[in-house]
Amino acid sequence: MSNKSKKYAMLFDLRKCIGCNTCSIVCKSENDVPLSVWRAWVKKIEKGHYPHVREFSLPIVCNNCEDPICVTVCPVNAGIKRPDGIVYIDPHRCIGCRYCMASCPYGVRYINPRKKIAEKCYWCHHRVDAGLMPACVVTCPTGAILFGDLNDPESEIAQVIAKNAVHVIKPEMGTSPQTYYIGLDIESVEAVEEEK
Amino acid sequence: MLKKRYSRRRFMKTGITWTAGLAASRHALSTPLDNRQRAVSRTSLKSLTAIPTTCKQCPAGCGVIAYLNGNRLIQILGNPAHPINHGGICAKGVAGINLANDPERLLYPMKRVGSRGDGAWTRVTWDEVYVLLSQRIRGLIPNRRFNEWLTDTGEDDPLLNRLLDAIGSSVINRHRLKNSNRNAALQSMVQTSQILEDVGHSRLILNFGANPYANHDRFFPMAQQLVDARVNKGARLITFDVRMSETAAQSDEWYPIQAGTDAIVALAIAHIIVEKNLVNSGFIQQKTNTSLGQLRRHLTPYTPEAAERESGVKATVIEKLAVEFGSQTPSVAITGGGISDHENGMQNVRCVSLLNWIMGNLEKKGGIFVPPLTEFHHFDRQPPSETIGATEKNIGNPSQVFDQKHKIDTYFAYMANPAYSEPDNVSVSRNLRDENKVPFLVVMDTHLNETAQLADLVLPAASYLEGWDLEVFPTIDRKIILNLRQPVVSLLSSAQALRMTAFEEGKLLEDIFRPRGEAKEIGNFSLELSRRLGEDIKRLFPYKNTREFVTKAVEAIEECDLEILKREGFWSGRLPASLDLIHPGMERSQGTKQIVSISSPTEENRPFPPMPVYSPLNTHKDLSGNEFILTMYKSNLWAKGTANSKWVREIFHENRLWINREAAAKLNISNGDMVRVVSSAGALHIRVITTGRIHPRSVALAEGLGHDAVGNVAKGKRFKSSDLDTPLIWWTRSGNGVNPYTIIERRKDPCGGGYALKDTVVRIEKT
Repeated sequence: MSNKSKKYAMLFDLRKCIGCNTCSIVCKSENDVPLSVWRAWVKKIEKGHYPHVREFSLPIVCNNCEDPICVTVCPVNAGIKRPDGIVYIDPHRCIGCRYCMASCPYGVRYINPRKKIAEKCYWCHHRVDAGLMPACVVTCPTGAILFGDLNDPESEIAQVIAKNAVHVIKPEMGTSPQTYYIGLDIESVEAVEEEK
Repeated sequence: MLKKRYSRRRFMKTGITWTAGLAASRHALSTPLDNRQRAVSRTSLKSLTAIPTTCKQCPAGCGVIAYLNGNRLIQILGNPAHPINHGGICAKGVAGINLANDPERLLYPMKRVGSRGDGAWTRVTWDEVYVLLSQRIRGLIPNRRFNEWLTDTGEDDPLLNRLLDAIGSSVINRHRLKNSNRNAALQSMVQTSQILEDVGHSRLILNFGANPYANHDRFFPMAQQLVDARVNKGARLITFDVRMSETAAQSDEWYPIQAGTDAIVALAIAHIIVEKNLVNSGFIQQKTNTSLGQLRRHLTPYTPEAAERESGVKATVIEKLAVEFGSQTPSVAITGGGISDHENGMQNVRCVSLLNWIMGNLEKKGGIFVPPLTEFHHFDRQPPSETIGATEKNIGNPSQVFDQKHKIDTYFAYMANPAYSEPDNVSVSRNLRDENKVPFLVVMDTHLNETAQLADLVLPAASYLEGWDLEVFPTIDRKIILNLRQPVVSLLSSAQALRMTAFEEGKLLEDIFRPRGEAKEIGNFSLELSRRLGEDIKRLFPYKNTREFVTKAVEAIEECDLEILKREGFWSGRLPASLDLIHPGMERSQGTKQIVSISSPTEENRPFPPMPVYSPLNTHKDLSGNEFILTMYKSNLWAKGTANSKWVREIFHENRLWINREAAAKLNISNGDMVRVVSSAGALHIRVITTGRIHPRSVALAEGLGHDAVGNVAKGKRFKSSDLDTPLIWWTRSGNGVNPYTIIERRKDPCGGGYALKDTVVRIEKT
């Protein structure tokens, strides 16, 4: 079903994100993600001192990198990068060795506690192949998440990226992430979330 | 063996007909959708059956689509065509399937064995339940003791309300109680408590204590408008709140403020606007009952400096905001629970609303709209029952009931949990446990909650995904949006349907849903109970079931029909005049009468000064170093229906006490320390989080946690069940939080009559 002429990407507009965790929960229901692991989550970081204080929300999903290290290191070739850019894991090949988890700079992979294999966000490729948007994109209440084909200049995501300054997380890792952010606070990428 | 008269040929013929019919109907259910409403199965890649319905996790009325794989509900997503939420829904709405499919749901009616609160139950049949309840109700009629039947409702239902009217029950209405300070304030000014704030078109939004990004009656629909206004239209959102709420975090400016002093800031802003002559004087002259001169005299003492002394918000900031509010029109001021849940809550809302009236923000783009009200559920208006007649029924809150020694025969709690979510809940549950005060306690709920643990009779309620209902929402263009709620859980298989009465009624061509176990919709429960209460009451309920009630209600609107609603989930348009529309704003704007009462006549039973004034809270004065004002807040994941939801509890299972970092340092408390929080109502042991996101004189605690009933997920316990996830519950060690209601004092606003939940002063001791 994959299309060679396509290059999928995801965009989080953090000006619109209100940190509501809808993406985390709808992902659980769409992909049957067990308790204790997440494919999408929202990190909340406080910065500054009273009263000059800010709180930043940072939703995180797999970056589906253009040069995915996780695919390179997989000893059994279970990691696959599709021509349209989606990186996924063949569940029948994966042996749960965790090399990919160790190599991923973003920590988005986990071992499914029931199946004991590595899993991660793959932009709901079952929905994308059926011509639908990923579950978090359709559900986001403020429309902060966009998804589409960067090779199509008419697509909303291509137009928004053309008009706005966008960031990716940890560009220095050389993986060319395809999940973009508008209004990213660089410091909150590395910051550790406090218990609340 | 088949009986002789039912020949093999006939059996085959009927079988084939029904099978064909069923196949056709299932097909019909899943086709009429545009591509945006489709969803596919993750494993088989086949399209899922999609049924539009309405969410009820909060009162916002978002349209959702329920997706079924075979007969099992597997997902809820937003309805992209719905005019209220435009396809977005919140985490609670998605987690609705946890409620419907919860292995710990209460599914059978049960009667207590042993003494109250022992937790020993025996199953009874619904028939026994109806006999028992109807006998109790009928027993009250001879001596006209109707009001000894006390109903505590957490959710409104038209048929239940009708039954309560008919039997003359006393009512505690949670939804009305929650907003009563704000409602009383708006009622006193614009004669209706239902207003719509058109924030999507404002250029400047002053937010006093509202938190639409996390919890609001118009939750996401309002958040969407705010985000759109800010990001796409360049509007500015400015928030006053004691803590950095989710809304404050995404505001352009956040001003921490001393709790309960918002009124004086609003009055000081009004003072400057009047001083600098930025007011809409034409509006004040023509549409209000006060004059500019009178207003100027009234506002003279409320200078920015006076406001700074009380609230801590700098006078320069107040002046700056006043000029912006007066000049960057359309501008609007919005209010929320943060300012109305105080002992001066009603006056707070009146003072903030004054800002809108002096700018002439009524029925104006980017301002406040007063939509028409409708009593749609009374479409078949019936005269009251003759034996009972019309009675006074709304009676405040449970604490008042027990304090004033209101005599109770039966306490019926529907979707309400007074033993858990009532200020000073420990004493409320002590009263509920006392058989002299409450001779008979009936609880109808989806789960065996804290109140149900004390009950004599527990009844399984259907969740909002298992029943029929209609809801009406006003819009700013004087139309209505009619939302249909239809069942989406437990689609009967063809074999099950054949065994049902539906077979006899020839309704096999329709999909048949039935609530899980023996759970009942409250509407059907009310109808069945009414049938057993004699002709006089029975005639008010000429419906077989909720579905028939909904069908008849829809028939009252000519342009709408049930098939449209079932297919689309909603209908938008105008109601016919016959449905008794009340247009408060409209009627008055056509005449010459004033429409906004800035100066309200003093009512006898609720004495408050006629003009909006700041009334200082004396209990908050002169606090010592370890005394703080406790603010209880609702997280965006809070909802009654999510108490036992695994996905929600996984993210939100611990509530720590927010305390200002500098204030904590003075008390030698550091992040993560255990403290004892003491108020006159009780004490809690809790871990603190030191943060810069809260005013130094306030501490904050999230509500909705600390359950000791409801279910193992709510209690944070690992267990085995039909759900493969429940043995994976990982937050057992950090516990399930604490219930702030334990330390909230029983206070209320004497003017508004509602709770003052945010006025409790607590002492913090390091342990």
